[in-house]
Amino acid sequence: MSDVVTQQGLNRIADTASQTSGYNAARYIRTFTVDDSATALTPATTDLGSPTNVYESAFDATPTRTGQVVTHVITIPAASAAFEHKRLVLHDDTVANVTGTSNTVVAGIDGLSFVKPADVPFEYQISLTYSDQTA
Amino acid sequence: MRLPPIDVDVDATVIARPPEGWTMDDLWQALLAAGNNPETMTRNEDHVVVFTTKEQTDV
Repeated sequence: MSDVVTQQGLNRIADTASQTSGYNAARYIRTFTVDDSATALTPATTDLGSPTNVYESAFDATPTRTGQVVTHVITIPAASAAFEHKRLVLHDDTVANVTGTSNTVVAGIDGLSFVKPADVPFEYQISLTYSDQTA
Repeated sequence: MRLPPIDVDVDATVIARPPEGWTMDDLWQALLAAGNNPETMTRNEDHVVVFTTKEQTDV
């Protein structure tokens, strides 16, 4: 298992924070996916690589920040995403635009193995912690 | 002078709560029946933590 922030994701964070020439008001971290691919996420990853099963969701509410920790909460209802969860990923586009092949991957965790029963809703809390590495 | 490097860590916690009419035992058994490992789950009073990275990344 490893957690990764992609180069594409770092670019999006930098563009958005400084509103560079690459800034796009519609492109920010706004969608979550879970999929069943065993392929590792790497800094060079841009898309999910067409997993067999992928479920896309917007966030339950606007993400919150406490100190340097930003938390995104997502609830997947019963009867959805009832497959083995191997990767949890954040994307920088609307849920309508995020697919198994969209170039939207910002960050995620791979190498997981747990299963969502078909009749149980799951709540996901995905956090990004920004820190000074020398602290 | 160099600015300090910035690091971004990703963490996840996944929580299951019993659907209406279910007991915590019902929920626990459904999670086991789906193939989940009881050693990686934490049972609480009103929910089960199915998965979390908190312990690993905080070490």
